[in-house]
Amino acid sequence: MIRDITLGQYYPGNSVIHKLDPRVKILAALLYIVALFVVDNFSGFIVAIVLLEAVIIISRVPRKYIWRGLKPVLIIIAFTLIVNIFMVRGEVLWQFGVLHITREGLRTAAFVGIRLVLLIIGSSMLTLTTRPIGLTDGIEALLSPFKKIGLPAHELAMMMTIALRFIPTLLEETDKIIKAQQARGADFESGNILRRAKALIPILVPLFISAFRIAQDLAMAMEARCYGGDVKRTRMNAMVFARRDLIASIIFCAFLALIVLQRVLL
Amino acid sequence: MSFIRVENLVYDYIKTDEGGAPIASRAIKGVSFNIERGSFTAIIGQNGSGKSTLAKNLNGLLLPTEGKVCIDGLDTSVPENVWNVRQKVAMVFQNPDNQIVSAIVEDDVAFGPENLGIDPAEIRRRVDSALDGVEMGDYKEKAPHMLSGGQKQRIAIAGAVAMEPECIVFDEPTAMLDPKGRREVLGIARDLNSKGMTVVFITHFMEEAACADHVIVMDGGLIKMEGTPREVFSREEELVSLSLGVPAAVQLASRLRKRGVEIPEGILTDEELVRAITEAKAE
Repeated sequence: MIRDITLGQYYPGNSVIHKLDPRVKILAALLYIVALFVVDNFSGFIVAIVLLEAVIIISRVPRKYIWRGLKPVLIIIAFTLIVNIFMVRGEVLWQFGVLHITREGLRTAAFVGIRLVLLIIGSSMLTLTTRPIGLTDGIEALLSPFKKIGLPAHELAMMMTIALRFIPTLLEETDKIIKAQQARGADFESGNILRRAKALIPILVPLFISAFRIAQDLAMAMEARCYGGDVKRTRMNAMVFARRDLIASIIFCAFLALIVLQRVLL
Repeated sequence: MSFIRVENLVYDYIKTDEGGAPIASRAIKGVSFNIERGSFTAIIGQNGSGKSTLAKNLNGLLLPTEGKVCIDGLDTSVPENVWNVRQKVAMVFQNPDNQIVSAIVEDDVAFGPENLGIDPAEIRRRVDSALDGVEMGDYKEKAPHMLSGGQKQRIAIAGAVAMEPECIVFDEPTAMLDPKGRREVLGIARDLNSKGMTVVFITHFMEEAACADHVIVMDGGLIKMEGTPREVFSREEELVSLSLGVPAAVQLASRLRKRGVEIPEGILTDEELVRAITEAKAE
């Protein structure tokens, strides 16, 4: 069923990685992605893989969950691989009509493939080991310096919290509307793309209306629980930069240094 | 002094007509009542009778158009009182889905106390005890959308309890639940009440209202009847004329009485009826 989709998936756990300060994890994930684009040879990727593998082992997140995060983007990865293998010019290894495979093509394809896989696993390690509230709190904290120039950091974080919470609810709602329309003979499966797109309108309109209704209910419920924005608000799990965060930061900086060094030296 | 005092409350919803001119539709047409500290009050009435609007007036979510609502002596229409009032009177709404803010159960329960600016260690204590109180301690780390309606409603109650209010207003909390979920929610409300919490329970299930110690019957924005469940449910014809009924036990008791079975007046619950029938048979 449609509601089985895992989004913003969090895998509850008690590992050091889980306990790290979300701010550290968010920055590390961002820098890790940047590092992946700095790398320009295979030895660099080995360093990146070793770090990621260590994180996976320490976090004790089952590989099943990591694989689940990778599955939806497999098509994109496959497409990129094919495009790269056949499109890059260079020393031809194999040719059939207009199709040709080059040494450079294989190399770029492998590079891009590894990069994409690491990028996705790296960012899903962040969401798998950080509870949604931690993520949004972390983002809020990292954005708060920009409050001075008028960036509504708290409001943005609250919006993200609510969006994450209501994705499954809205999916369920969509499911209900589709079933209700099908019960009255609506056809979503046949016809060309244009027809099918048109058939979506009777789903989207009630979905929109129900989203507004939910928003109104939720606003009322939040007010009833004394929500008044950022004013004097405290957090149950206040973010603390602990010793383990310092150690993790040092290890991560060492990783970054290694990446930069091997790029410069090799 | 009563904990909640409602004096000549009138409430208008303002809508606009096609030309943009405001039209007032009067949902509450002047009601007065008191709710005592530690009591369990049920408010019943059919859809559109104004009972939900009344509920939202009890903690300053809506402010009276005319008249006055005082919570523990605090007038809800005074802006400085609003946070105090909402902290004293918490609310549980009808739709269990639309009142849960966070994607993790315990974070949601913490939402209220966090808004009150309470110390993190104290929030942790309150969240744990509130979740244990509704027997959802094992679900702390779960995502709300994986839970049943009754469980979600229990989370919502825990969220209200964690604010340590003096009163909880339940606005038709059982309307969207299955019978099991309904029993659970009512059980928790009664349990909280027995520990000293003032409870206002809005419902259209007469069996639930029978558990209260005070019943208010609303119709067309007015209070039509008020009293103990025994007093209110003994006036079956009046209730039926308001499109309401009486609990099944009351109805069965009165039918048996008409057939000549000796059932005493004032039967309210299934248990009482069973006892009365066995006694009548024994004679």
